[in-house]
Amino acid sequence: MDNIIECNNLTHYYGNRCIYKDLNFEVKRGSILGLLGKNGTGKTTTINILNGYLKPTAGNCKIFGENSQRLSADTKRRIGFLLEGHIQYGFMNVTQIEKFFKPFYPGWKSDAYFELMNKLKIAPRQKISTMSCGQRSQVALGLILAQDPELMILDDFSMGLDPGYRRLFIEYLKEWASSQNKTIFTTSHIIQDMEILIDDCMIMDYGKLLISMPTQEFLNSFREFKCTVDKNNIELEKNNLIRNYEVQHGKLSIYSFGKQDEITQYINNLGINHGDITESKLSLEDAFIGLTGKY
Amino acid sequence: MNYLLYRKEWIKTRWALAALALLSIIIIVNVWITVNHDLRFVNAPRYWNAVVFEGYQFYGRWMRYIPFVAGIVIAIVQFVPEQYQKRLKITLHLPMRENRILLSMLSFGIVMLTAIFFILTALLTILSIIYFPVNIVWAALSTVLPWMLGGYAAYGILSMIITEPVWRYRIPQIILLAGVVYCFSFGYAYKIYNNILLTITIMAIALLMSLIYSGNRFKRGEM
Amino acid sequence: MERISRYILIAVTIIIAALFIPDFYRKATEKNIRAPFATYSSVNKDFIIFRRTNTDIHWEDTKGNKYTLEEYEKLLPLTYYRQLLADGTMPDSIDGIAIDTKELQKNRVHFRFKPKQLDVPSLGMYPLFESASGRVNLSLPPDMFRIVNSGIEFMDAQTNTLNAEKSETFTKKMKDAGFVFPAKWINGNPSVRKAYDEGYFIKDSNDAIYHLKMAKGVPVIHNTAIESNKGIITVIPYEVATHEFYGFAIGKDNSFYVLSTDNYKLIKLPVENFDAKKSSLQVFGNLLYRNIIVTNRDNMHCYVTNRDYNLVNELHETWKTSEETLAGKAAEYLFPLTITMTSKYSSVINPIYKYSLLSIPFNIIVLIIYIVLLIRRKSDIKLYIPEIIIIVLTGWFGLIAIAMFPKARKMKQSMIKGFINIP
Repeated sequence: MDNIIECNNLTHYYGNRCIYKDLNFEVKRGSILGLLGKNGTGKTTTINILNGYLKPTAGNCKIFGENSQRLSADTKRRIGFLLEGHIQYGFMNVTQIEKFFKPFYPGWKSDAYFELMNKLKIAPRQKISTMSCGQRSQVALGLILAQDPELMILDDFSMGLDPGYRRLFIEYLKEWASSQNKTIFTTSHIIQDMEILIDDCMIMDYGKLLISMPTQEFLNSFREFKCTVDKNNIELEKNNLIRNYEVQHGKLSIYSFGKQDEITQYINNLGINHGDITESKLSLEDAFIGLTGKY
Repeated sequence: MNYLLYRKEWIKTRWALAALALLSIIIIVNVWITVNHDLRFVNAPRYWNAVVFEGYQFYGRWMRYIPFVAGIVIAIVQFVPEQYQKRLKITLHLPMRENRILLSMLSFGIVMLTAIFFILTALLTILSIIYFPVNIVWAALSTVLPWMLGGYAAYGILSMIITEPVWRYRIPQIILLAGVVYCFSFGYAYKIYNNILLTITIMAIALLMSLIYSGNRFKRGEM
Repeated sequence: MERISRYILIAVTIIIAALFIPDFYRKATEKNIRAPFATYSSVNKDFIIFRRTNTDIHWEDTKGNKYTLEEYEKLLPLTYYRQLLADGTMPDSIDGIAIDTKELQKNRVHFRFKPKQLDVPSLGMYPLFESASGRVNLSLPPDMFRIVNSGIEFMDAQTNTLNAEKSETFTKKMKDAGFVFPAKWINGNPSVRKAYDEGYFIKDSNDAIYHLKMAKGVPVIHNTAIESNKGIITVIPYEVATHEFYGFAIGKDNSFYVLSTDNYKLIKLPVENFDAKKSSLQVFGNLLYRNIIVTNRDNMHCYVTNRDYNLVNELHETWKTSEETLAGKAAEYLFPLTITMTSKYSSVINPIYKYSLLSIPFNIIVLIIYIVLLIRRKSDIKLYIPEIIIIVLTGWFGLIAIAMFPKARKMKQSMIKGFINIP
């Protein structure tokens, strides 16, 4: 199983502000990986470095073994991009744009593109700039599926889309990726969508990679432990066990990879008075918020 | 593969190019009508002497601006759509080396600019040959040439300015553009650029590749 | 390729800076230093110099006596005779020569030469006037001629066609006179606003100077037989009422001649300090004298001759130019490179590049500032050697250019390790 993407000691500063330092991760072939993180944690930075539009201060990213800043023409052919906002050439119409991209990619699948375009209720000569957000996203999806790349890098594929289009996107992507062992690297704000799509997840938080593991494994091992407490001003140390916690309205919530008895013993040792501890599994969104906090 | 990119450039620019071609034709027709009219009112020897010894530029005041307008318009219609929403990212991701992509876009603009200049020059020559001896025609063409070179220079610099990713650098660059345009646009007498034609040709050609500088800055994500 | 593009932009920026910034400064600081103007009085045989500042104008002679306008005019009856006649103060004779107003009028000469006349780009078309039409005024001919390799061609303006017959006639006559086509230069006075026409002086391929005109439709061509060793670079026709000369000629060695109508004899004028590329020259003539004034950037020379062009008196003056004022000198320290595109010495664009070594100390100061900035930004100085060289040579112009077109930055490795990570 080869690594399609490999990032080594990735470090980036904006001026004097450090976004992250010595970030390392890899994406294996066939993996559908989602990068999650709050705004400002470096998601966009990472995507931009990956797609070659930002030069990292130090470290490098390799895609198909080549430096992402200096990809060869052949390697670029194997990568499909989706830019944030489904940006496309607004001055072309759907026919022109397919005709434009097709000759660049020998394996271009026009059928995949037109199958999607026929679903769109648009005039044949309508310029893409006059289409709605959702229609544009369908054009972008059609183009990227027609290109049929080995690797897709998607920057926030759900931005600005209503639920119908988002669901369409995810279904097509998942179908395409799993049927042919394709690799996807994506980010999105809408974590429920990510939950359906991604197999692996990476969660970033202000300079650090918090977790990098298969989504299922994350959801199976990460739990919320809730109990009532008698005071609101409880402070706990964040560590390997207590990844995050929250005290609100007399309820203490602890987010952890640990087991219930570990948690119980820990807070007992701290002398905290508490009620019964309940353990709950979390959706990806809740797990994400639990891990990174609401602020 | 360059010509594949030309298809996109053509879609972006075709209306502007048609407008520029039309403008060139209108200007020349206007010159033709004016010369025709003036020759009926002023006798021909007087007209010729005014051209030769008083520096009367029979092609009119507007001719000087057309090449610059053409260069500026083509740069705008080619590169503003790429700059908008950073669509240049899509272009640079096409399976070609980035500098080749940029040069390809530039070469399209240069070819189109040359086509406009060819129309302008051809029509001006035809019109002039009817009324004037070849000496005067040559003088007119060699006076118009520096302005066309300036059109290329303006195209080169403006394409760079539009693509420059950092706002604050664009301001002094626009001042530079104004300075360069000024250098190429002296028009008070025939053939005044005769001694420095080679110099300004080199300068215009050199400035044409300025896009490579800002295009690479864009790629690096300079801020 | 990005590097080449960047250095081109830096070079062009420095050129534009050198074109505009010193020029703005000059416009802001230049003093109007007017050259004094001298005339020669036939009454007291002395020069009367007109001096003007922003606050005062007066006339004075070489001994320092000052004169009012009326006194000045009285000293120059040969020039201001109309005013003196009106005032009733015109003398009857000067130096024993009786004054006749018509003669005064006829003998007036005012000729001006400026260096830019030498490189006016020619369109190669000229009107050959009918010089013996019998009419008082000259009129524009219906055609204009040009000289090509095979001969002279007359193009009819109305039809824009070649007048083959006239062209052949003239070509044959010129060839018969020994003219070898094509011409090296053609000089004439193509204006109708002159009393008569003497046609053109044309240098052929063998450096022989011919005189061409048209009388009653027939070509008149003479070989002036001016020796080629005189190295005449141009003849400037100038018609005077007395018909005593065709005009003036300038030699390669900066000799200035009158080209007399007496068999094209060249009479050398006793002027020195004349450089055809830099000096302007005026000839003021009246009944008795010729006053030839050569003016340069910082000096002026008057040579007064009699009518036979023998020197009678001379005057020399110098002054400080604007470049020698404090502001002018400061410019040499401030501006490493100055480029001027147009000048009063040339009719075409002939850029003059001036590099000032005196600016190097200031350049070094700018370099120090630049290096300090580089260090503060923790840049690796080794990578900026080309920029350092540019600033040493071009000072703050180079700094502006480098600031406008920054290099791709590489952070020093040591700096990255030193930063504390945000937890």
